Amino acid sequence: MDIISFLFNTIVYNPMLNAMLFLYSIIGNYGVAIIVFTLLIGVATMPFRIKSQQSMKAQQEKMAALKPKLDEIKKKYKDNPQQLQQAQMKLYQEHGMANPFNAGCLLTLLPFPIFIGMYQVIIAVMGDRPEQLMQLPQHLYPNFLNVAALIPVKSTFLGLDLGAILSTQNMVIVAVVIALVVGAQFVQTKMMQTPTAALDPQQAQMNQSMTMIMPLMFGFFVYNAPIGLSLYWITFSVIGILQQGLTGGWSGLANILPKPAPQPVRTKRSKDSTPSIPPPASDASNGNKNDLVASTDGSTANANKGKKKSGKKR
Amino acid sequence: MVLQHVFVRSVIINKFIVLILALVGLAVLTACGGAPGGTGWSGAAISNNSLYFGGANAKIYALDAATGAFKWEYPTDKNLNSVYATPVIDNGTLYVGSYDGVFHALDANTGALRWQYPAQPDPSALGPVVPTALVANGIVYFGDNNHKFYALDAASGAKKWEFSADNKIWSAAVFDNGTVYFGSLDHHLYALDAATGAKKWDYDAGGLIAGTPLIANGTLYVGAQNKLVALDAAAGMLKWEFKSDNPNEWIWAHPTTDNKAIYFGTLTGNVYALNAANGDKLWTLPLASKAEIRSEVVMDGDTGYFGASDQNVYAVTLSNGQLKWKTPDKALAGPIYTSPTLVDGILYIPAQGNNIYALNAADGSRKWCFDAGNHQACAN
Repeated sequence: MDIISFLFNTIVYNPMLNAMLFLYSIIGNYGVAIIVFTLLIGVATMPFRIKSQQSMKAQQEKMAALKPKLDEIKKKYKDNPQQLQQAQMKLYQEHGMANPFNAGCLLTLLPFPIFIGMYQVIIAVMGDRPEQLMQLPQHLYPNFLNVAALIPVKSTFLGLDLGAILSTQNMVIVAVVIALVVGAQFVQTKMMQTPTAALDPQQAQMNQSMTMIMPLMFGFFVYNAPIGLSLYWITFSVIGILQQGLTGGWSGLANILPKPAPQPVRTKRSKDSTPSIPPPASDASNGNKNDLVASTDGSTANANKGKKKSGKKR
Repeated sequence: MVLQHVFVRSVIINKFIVLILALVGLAVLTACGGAPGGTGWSGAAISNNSLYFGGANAKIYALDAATGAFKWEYPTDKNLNSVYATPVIDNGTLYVGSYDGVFHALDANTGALRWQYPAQPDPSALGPVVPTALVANGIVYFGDNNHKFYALDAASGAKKWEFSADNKIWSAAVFDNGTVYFGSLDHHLYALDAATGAKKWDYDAGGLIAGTPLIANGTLYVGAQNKLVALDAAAGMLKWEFKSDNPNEWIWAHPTTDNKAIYFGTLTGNVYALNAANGDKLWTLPLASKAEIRSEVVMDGDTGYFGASDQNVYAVTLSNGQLKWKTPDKALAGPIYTSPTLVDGILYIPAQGNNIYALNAADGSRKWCFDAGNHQACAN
């Protein structure tokens, strides 16, 4: 663990700590310093995140394009799991998709060491425990800042003590903060999903699980962490939402809202046709599935139209 | 075959795996590097052949000082979150505050609770307590993380008065001539009337004060970030200050004096001796390990003893700063952030963790070691 600590401190923690204190020395408010720092991190990592999203989108589109072939393979080898897997593997390799850890996925990991670093920075600088504050000097760059004047930092922001553990606050504050953390993360994740992903039921199922699990896990994590960490993550998620909207468009927001129930299509009854009534609307995560079903019904409606025409010709 | 199966499945669920790994990594790495957690750093108090200290499992222990045999522990049914304060014994009562926001008065012979403040834990009534209490003239004085300094009746625990600073109070108080003195993380050193709590003066030292001041011959000495300041105790006027060239060389240790020199360690692993009258540097002893020294330099004649975060205890010649001996590397099971207690040629020192050691002051050899977590002699 010593080598990991050394690398983490040198590459992530020490630079973040000194940068945060530098910002604080200029701004004078630690909450605002967290927001500004997060903005800077967001801007600096934007090229990587865009690349990650493009890579994942390409991956999803490839998966969607391969779906018919995958369905064929499944049908062909439904009684032979071994040959099924070999055929799937061969198909993925032919289309350059055999590497599960492609660049897009690895870039997804980028925010996490920064999140961890921010967690460590907040608990060190807020000085809740003496041991934490005592070890601060080891991580400060020599002669970089007038630390004597800065420590301990003024940790109040919007009436909250950023160093206080969220779970120690009253229920209203806990509920609002967790709702913001979970909500912002949820919106960001939803916006990143592309409709083509939902064409693969397995992929759609996985996406849905991830959309729910990720925000909840972060909500759980920040519950037992200083409030400053929640501020950081909310800011980071909002930046992610804005970046996604500005680069990829805002259509992803539609994934969040439940789709209105489509109006039933009333057609004139003929002896040989039955009215096509679409199924009831479901929630947003199944919105694309509804599109599938609707398109199926659309095909049925077209068939009915064809029949009607032939009826008329009589 | 299995690998193929995993590979094929992982193509489908690659994003899921990556993110689960990231969350696991997040949970693991928050424990690595960066800022540590906290388990307390209580020192040892000796009274009537008994030794008292707070263990890392957040209980107060009483042992036989000669043999390390277990006598009692408090509480028996829970723990106190953490214990940073060293117990203080006065008239058969043990006084100690704990990080769960409760101040305790126990029967020193049996460990039975005499009173506690507040009666029920209440974060608004008392915050986490770090400093060792001061007992003087029947009153108990201590500060907390809620920025408050309290005076309680030592017999009953009734609050006499409280005083508000602007930040946490981790410094223990000292008493002299009807006045209590303590420092705060708000950079100030305070002088209050011991009977009423009225402020006599306060001094802005320009850096956080986490260590306990020393008062000697009408002068107050205290570390404030990378400075040691000497003030006139009556008026709070600066007499002299010593400032390290390294702004990250913080002074958290309680200074000690033989009336000629002031001795203290720093968090960058240096021990200093300064002229008590004018602050001129007499000598410096740098530790090879550059370990943090929060321990005071305990004096016995021309020898000073202290512990450091490198898990060693050191003995130094006070007249010239030469190292006399140090314990074998990592002879103690954990870092030492507290001061040794010297009684009859034996140094008693808890390491951070559950072990407490009795060492011969002549050469640092071990007399006994007690493992508080297992209620027995240390395994090694």
